[in-house]
Amino acid sequence: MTSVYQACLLVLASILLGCSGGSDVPYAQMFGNPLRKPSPAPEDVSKLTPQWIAALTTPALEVTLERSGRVAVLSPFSDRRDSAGGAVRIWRSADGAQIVLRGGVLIATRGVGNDVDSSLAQTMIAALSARAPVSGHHVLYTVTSENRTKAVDLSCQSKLIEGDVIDIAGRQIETRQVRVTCRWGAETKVYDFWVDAGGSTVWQSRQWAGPDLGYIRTRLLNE
Amino acid sequence: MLLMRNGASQVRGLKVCSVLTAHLNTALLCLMVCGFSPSVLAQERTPPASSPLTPTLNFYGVPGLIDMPGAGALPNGQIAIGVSSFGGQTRTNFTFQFSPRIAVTFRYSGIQDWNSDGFDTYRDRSFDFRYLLVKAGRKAPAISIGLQDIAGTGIYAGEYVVATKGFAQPFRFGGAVKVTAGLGWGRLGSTGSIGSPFGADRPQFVPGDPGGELRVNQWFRGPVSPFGGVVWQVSDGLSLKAEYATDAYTAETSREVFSNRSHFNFGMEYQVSPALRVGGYWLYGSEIGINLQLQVNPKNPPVPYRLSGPRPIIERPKRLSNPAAYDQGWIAAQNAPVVIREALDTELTQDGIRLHSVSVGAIRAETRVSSDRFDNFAILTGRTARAMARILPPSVETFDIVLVTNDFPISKVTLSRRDLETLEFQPDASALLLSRTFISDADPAPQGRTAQVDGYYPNFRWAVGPYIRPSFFDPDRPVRADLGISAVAQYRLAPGWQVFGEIRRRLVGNIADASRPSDSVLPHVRTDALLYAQATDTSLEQFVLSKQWKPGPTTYARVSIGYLEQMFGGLSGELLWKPADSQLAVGIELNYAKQRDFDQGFGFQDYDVATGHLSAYYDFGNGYHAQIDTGQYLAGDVGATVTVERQFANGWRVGGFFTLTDVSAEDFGEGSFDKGITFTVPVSWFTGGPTRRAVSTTVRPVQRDGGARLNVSGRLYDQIRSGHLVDVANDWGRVWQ
Repeated sequence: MTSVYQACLLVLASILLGCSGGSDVPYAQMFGNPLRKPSPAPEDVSKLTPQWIAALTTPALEVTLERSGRVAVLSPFSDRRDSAGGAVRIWRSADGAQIVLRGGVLIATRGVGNDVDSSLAQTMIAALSARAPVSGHHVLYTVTSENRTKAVDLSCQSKLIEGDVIDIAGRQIETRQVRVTCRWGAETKVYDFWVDAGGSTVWQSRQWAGPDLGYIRTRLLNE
Repeated sequence: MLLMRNGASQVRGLKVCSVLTAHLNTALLCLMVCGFSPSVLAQERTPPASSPLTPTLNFYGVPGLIDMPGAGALPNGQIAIGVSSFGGQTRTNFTFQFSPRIAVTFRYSGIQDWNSDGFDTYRDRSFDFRYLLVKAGRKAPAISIGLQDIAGTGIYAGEYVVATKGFAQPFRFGGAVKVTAGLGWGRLGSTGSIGSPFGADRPQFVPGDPGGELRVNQWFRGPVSPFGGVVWQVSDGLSLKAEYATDAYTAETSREVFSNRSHFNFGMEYQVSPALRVGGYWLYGSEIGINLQLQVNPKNPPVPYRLSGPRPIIERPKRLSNPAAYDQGWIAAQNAPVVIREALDTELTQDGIRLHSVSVGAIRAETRVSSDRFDNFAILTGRTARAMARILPPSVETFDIVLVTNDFPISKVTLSRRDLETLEFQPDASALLLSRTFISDADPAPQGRTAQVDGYYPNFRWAVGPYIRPSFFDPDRPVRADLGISAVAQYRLAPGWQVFGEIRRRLVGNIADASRPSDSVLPHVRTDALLYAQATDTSLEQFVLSKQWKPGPTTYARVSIGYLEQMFGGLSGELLWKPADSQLAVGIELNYAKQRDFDQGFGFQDYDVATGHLSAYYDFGNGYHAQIDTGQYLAGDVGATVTVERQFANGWRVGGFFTLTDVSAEDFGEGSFDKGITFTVPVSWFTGGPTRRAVSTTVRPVQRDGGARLNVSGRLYDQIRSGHLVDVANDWGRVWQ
C-alpha cells in the first residue's frame, strides 16, 4: 500500500508542476488543476454590529446556507417587476452567488450550487400578504446534476403565529411570524417568515430550497 | 503476448489537453484507492447503498449474496468497482448499470497455485450480462437473468435465473431481510444438480483456450442446481449473509487451489460510507474471504456544479410608453455592426466567451460564439443571449446564436428577446424557454451586415506537464505504467487550420520491462507496443497539420496529415453529414497510414495500408448512442465495429464496443476478436467548476492486431454532437445560469 500512496503523491505532485503559455491561454485553462483554489471565504459576519449596519448606505441581506454553513452578505444586483406579481430582487454575493427573492420569498438561485432554477411561489407569497391561513402548492424547479430541472412539488398550509420582536445585530424589529408547513412526500418542510408588523418587508426567513440545497436563512440587514 | 496499450486516450475539447488524460485518470483512480471516494464527499441525493432495496455485490461484482448472484438492479447509471479474494483467487470487477434493467460486468481475475497448463497463476478476463426481468413490487420479488463469462475462456461460465424478495422488518428485533432463491447452470450448477432440462451437452472449460466467442450453444445447457441465501441487514451499516452455493469449483479443487468442504458460506458486511462497503466471509468450509466494494454514480458528482451567477437581463422599455426606443433608424449607421461587436465582445470576453462575429438587422441579430470554458452549450447560449439583450437596440426582437466549436458553426439557436425578458422567473422557466426556442442548422458563414472579430489568428498555445501511460493485464504484472513529461504545442494558423505536436520524455516506468513479444500472425499493427516502449525514452507522439471546415449547413470535413499517432503516420480525410436536429449521422473516413519506426522519431517502417470506414451514428435519446463503423482496418482486415454508449448530460460517458472482421479467431489470437470498454469522465464532475476538459480511456481485455483502427485525433462526430439539438436540449436546465 505504501507504493500506492507514493504513486498517488507522485501523480498529484506532478500535476502541480505543469506550466504553459501562448497567445491567450494560461496553464489552468489548458490543463486545469484538479486541486482548485478554495472559494473566497464568506464575509466576516463578526462585523455585523449595529454601528456597521447603521453605516450601510445600500440594502444588505445576510444569507446562510444551513447545510454547508456558508454565510455571506449580499447586495442588490437587479430589481424588476413582472406579470407574476411582486417585485423581484436579485441579490448577489462577492463571489457571484445570487439569491432571487419575490416579495421576500426565494424563487431562484444562481451560482450557489444545486440551484433552484425557478419556482411556483404564489401560495407562499399569498401567505405573507394574507392575514388568514392559506393553502396550496409551492413548486421548486431545481437543477439536477444532469443539467435538467426537477419539479419538487410541496403541498403547503400557512398559519400566522403571534407577533415577535426579533433582533438583527442588536436592532429590535417588531414582526409577525408566518409559518408555512409543507408536505413533500413523507417529509415535512417548514418555512418561517418574520414580516414587518406594519408593512410587507420580510426581515428574516428560513426557507427550504430543495433536497440538495437544503434550508436557507435570510436576514435583511438594511432595507 | 498480453502486453498491450490500454491507455489510448483522447480529450473532448482542446486537443492540447490529450496529454493529461492518462495521468488524470490515474490520479482519480489513486484518489479512490487512497480512500478519498468521491461519493463520500457528496451530499446524499439518493438513499444510501445500505438501503434494504439497494442490492449489495457478491464476489463476482454483481448484485447478490456472497459467491452466488441475486436479483435486482443497481441504481440506474451506477458504477461499481470491487475487489474480492478468497482461497488464492482474486477478482477485480467493474459493473455498470447501463439502463434500469441492463447491467454489464468486466472482470479480471487471478487464481494462484494453478500450477498446470503452463500457468503458475491463472489470469483471465471475463464479461457478464444481466437483465432485470421483473422489478420488485409490493408483493412480487425482483427476478433477474444473468449470463456469466459470456465471451471469455469460459472459466467462470454460468447462467442463472434468480429471484430476491425484501422484507422491511420481519423480526421483532429489527432490520430488513432479503431472501434469494435461484437456479444456476454451468459453474453455478456444478453441484447439487436436479437435472438438465435443456440438454446435458455442455462443453467443459479448457485452460488456455483463446476464448472471446459468444458461447450461445452452451447457455442454460447441462445440469441445473438450486441455490439461495439470506441477507439480514441488522442496521444501516451492518449486514449478515448466509448462502447455499452450488459452485463445486471443480477446476480449482482438482488443482488443489483450495478445498471445497462445504456448500454453505457466511459473511458480515459493513457499509463504511454511501460509496464504500467492506465484507469478511467464511467460504466453502475452508477459506476466509474479503470483498471491497466501491460504488459511484455519474449522476451524483462529489461537488455540485457551481458557476458564478450571470448578469441580469435588462428589460426594454414598454413599446407603448416609449415607442421612440424601438426606432429602427440605428441600422442605417454604417458602423452599427462594429459598435455592437465591440460592446458585445467586451462583455462576452469577461464571461469566458469568444465572439467570432456579429450580424445585425433592424429586428434580428446573429452572434457566433464559442467557449473554451463552458462544457455546456445551454449556458453558453443563455449568457450570450443575456449579453445581446443588454446591448442590442430595442428593435431587435429575435436572437440567433450560432454555437461554434473548433471553428465549426455547429448549430443555430433562435430565441425571442421577449421570452428572455418575461420568462426567467416564471415557474419552470427553463422548460418554458425551450418550448419557444428553435435549434437548426447553422450556415457555414454569417450572412448580412457582419462584423467579424479579428486578431485571433495566428494563435499559439503550449504546455508542459506530466503524463502517465498505463498498460494492463500483462500476466506477469497485470498493471504496468510509464510516467514522464509531455510537451504539447498548438499553432492555429487560420480558421480551421492548425498544427499540433506532442513530445514525451519517459522518466520512470516498467512497460519496457515486459518480456512477451508479439506472436501475432497478422501484420504487427498494435502488438509491437513492447518494441515501441523499449526503443526510446523520448518520443514524438503526434505532429499533425489539419484543416477542418464546413462545406454546407449539414456537412463537416477534416483533413489531417503527419504523424497521426504513436504507431502510424499518414494522411486522413473525413466527411460527416449531421443535421442539427437529426438523431442520425453518417460519415466516411479514408486514410493512408504508414507504420512509424519504433523510436517514434520521423522515420517509417515498410508497412503501409489504406484504411477507412463508413460510419453511421444514432442518438436514441436519453443518453443512449450507437455507432457502426464498417471498412478496412490497419492489418488489412475487413469488418465492422459496433459501439454502444451511455452518455450522461454532465459529460460522463461509458460505452462498449466489439469488432468482427474477416480474420479468423485462430489468426486473431487470444480473445478471438477485438472488444473493450470506454470511459469519459468530465473534469468538471470533480471540480464543480466549468471546464471543457474530460478524461477518456479505452480498456481492452487484450490488444491484438485484428480489428485495429487508426487513432486519429479530432474525429468529427465527437466534435459536433454536443452542440446539436438532443444534447443542447438535454443541457437546457442550466440555460438561465
